[in-house]
Amino acid sequence: MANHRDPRSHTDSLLALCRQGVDLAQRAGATDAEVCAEWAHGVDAKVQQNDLDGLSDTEETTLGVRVVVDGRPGFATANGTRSLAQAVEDAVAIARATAPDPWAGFVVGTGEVMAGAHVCDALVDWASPELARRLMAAIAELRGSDARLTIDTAELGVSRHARAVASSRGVAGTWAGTHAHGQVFGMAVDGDEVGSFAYDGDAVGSLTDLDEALAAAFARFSADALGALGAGSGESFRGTVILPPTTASGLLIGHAVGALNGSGIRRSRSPFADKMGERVGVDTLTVVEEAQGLAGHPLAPFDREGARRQRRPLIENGVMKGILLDHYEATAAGTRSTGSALGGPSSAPRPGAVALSVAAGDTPEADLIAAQKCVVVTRFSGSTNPVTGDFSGVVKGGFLVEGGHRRPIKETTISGNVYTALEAITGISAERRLMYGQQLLPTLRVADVSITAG
Amino acid sequence: MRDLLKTALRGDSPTDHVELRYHDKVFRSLTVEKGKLERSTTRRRQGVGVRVLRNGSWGFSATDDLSVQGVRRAIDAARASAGVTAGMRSEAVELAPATLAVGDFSEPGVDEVASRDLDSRVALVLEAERLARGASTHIETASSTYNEIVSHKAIVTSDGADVSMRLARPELYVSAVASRDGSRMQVNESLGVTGGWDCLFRAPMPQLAEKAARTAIDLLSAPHPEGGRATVILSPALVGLLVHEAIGHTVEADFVATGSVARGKLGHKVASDLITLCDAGASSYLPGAGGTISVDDEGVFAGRTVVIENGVLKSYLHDRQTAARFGVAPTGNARAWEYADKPLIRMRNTYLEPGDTSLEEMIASTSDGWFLDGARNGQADATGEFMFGTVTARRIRAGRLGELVRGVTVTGNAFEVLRSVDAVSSEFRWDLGAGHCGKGQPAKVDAGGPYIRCTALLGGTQD
Repeated sequence: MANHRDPRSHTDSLLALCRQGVDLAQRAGATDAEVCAEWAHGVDAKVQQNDLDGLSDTEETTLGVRVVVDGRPGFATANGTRSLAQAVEDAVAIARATAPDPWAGFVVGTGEVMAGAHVCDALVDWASPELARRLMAAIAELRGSDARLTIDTAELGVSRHARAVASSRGVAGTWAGTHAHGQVFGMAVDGDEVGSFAYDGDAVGSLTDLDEALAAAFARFSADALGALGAGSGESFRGTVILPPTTASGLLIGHAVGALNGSGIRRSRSPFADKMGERVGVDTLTVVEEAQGLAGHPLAPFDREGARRQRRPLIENGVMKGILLDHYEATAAGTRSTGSALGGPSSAPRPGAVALSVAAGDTPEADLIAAQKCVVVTRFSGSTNPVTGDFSGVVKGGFLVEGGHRRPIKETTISGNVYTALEAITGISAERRLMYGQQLLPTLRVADVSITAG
Repeated sequence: MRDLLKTALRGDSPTDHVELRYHDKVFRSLTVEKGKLERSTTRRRQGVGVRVLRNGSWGFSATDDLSVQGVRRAIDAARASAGVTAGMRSEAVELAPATLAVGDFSEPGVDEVASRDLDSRVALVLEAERLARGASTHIETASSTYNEIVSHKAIVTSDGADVSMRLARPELYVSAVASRDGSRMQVNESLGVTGGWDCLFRAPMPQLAEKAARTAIDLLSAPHPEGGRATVILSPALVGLLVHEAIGHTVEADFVATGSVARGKLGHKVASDLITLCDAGASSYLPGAGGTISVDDEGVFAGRTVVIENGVLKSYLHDRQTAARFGVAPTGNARAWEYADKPLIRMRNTYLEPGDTSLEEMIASTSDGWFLDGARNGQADATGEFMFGTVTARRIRAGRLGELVRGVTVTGNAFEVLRSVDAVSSEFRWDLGAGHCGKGQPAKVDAGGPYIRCTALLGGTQD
């Protein structure tokens, strides 16, 4: 008898459900149809306020139905296998109320089933008591290392998931996977002083990698939380900031990759619209769409709508080399999908990078930071206008480094522009960090940023 | 659905606390850009979330199987989880007694929103985008999005809650991108309510579209401000962000227990005498506040909690668990986003009580400062340090409004900022109705209040 918790045991039934949905949609009047279905089972142990909050066990099947009715597109999603007919009805109703769209349509497949899996058997069988015990042991060790650390929430969980997609255009694919994830959120409290929030976590595809990844994430959390104690006023100047991998991703690289999105380019919302083949960053900057996954984190060989995924450079030595296209944007642009359709059954496909890497530099991280007066932006709490690239926000848990001395600072804001900052990168670390199996980034040093202290 | 939940609970162990929460949420979204319907989605999600408190420990499970047997299996799974963790807690969970709700507590506007045909929604977003795009030749592109949540809940607990609730939450967003001489500016405007379309469009839709376009054009030539500490007048939208992000989160009792800056401060003077801050399930002063609920997700009535009264910290925000721990009554703040989410302590409608000064008087009596308006985003820290982005900033000199500059980041320590308040206006507005709060899971909230004058740090540009 099949193990219900093994995601591989669900792929065939999901694919059958997708095909049933395609058939229902065509009988309801759809010219073409695509159905994506996903089964997910998650078990999580959670700590709140330094104590075990409990275990949760959730299981759900989600369906996403896309149709084209006489050139008019429609999309609907619902949960529960019983909802297939309702989702088909909703999608067809939306299509009938929508104007014809010449770019609406689906990837053309071969009719053969693309199948893949990355399943850790140990994670399939991992029992919830062990999950809770391991989380509590990690928290006890963390708090035992320094009594000033306090945990608001922490979580350790395992996710088992299976997905299928099928369309009237010959697409058929299945994927099954497992991963474990852990995270911690809290701060350090020393007497009356409350430090800035700290947060860290990671995800792994194999149980054997979990302890090391969790220990590293909790160690980073501890360093950030304790390092934020004793924060004083910063200084106002125009100068250099250091962006560790998480901040480099959120503040800079994420927006740069967002500007390579075919949807934004078509809708005049990207400054990179006419920059293919031109310089958009310093010549040491190389960004790659890791569409087949990063080491230890392989991805399904097909994207949300069944197009083959491929690893490609997006920015190479500072020059724009690629954009991210799903089938819709590719049709609008008169070209082929790059296999970059993101999303699950609960959303219509949209173009984006499922995973990415930034090439390492040749400067040790310690030397990047020590080189000159700078502010280390441990976290950035602010906003960025994706159209103009202007950003402004507060440095959280940050440090002012000057003359080899490093001290924590508070109430310090930074402002600048993402797109000009790409050309003001003055250093890239040799070390890189893999974050949640989705991004592999170095630390960046960026010049000419406005820094204002309170 | 209440009957199905009660049937599933019948005969269950009398020693365990069991909470069953059915939630059926229908989300519709339409986006128009450049005169074209870019996205249109209907999302239905329904299921039952189950919490079991056994031997002082929680277990949670969620299922999309809506049969009695399916719900009973979920109860068993939650009970098994609670059994596993019971010996691992250092302190047993207890629940504070509460007057639990029985009956139907639906909000107005549900049928009006749910029965509206798709064509009328499409026409609305097409028209909003057309008005924004057509406002000026400097508008390069515009978009509009209509989102709508129609929600039906049923909550049954083993200690007597027996509730059904329906509500509708429509929202409209308009975005305009202006460009001139190589300079570009994007401005977003939004409305959101708990209620029907009449409530949503108390301010006519064309005003929203035209405001987005006009502000984007005005900001094209606006310079960046020089940063630094300054006297500022905050609009109701920014007051809402301040009271939600910077104060509200620090008084959520789960976070107080972790060690927020508000811990140990009950009865202490934490703000100016002019400050009275509340969080309520009802929509005070004006109808339709986005976070309106009558009953929370533990079946407790969602009343009005005075958090700060005339500058003195009076109460935290509680669910039944923290209320027992702090020895007080629950305040009806337990909320879950969807059926598969556990209830957490969340705000509802958070606001400052209005004062007796007019905005006009406030500006006239400011010799040197800034008038800040429009909320972009906001976040706060454990330290009470907050950040929020504003859309516009206008200089005030000698009691008069002066030049417009680009929106700034405002930061400071929340309690220090509230201590610096020296004027509170009589005007009142809810102004975060299209906003959501994130705390591991989203929550629909609203916030607002009067205009206030205070001191804060503006993030600007250093030459």
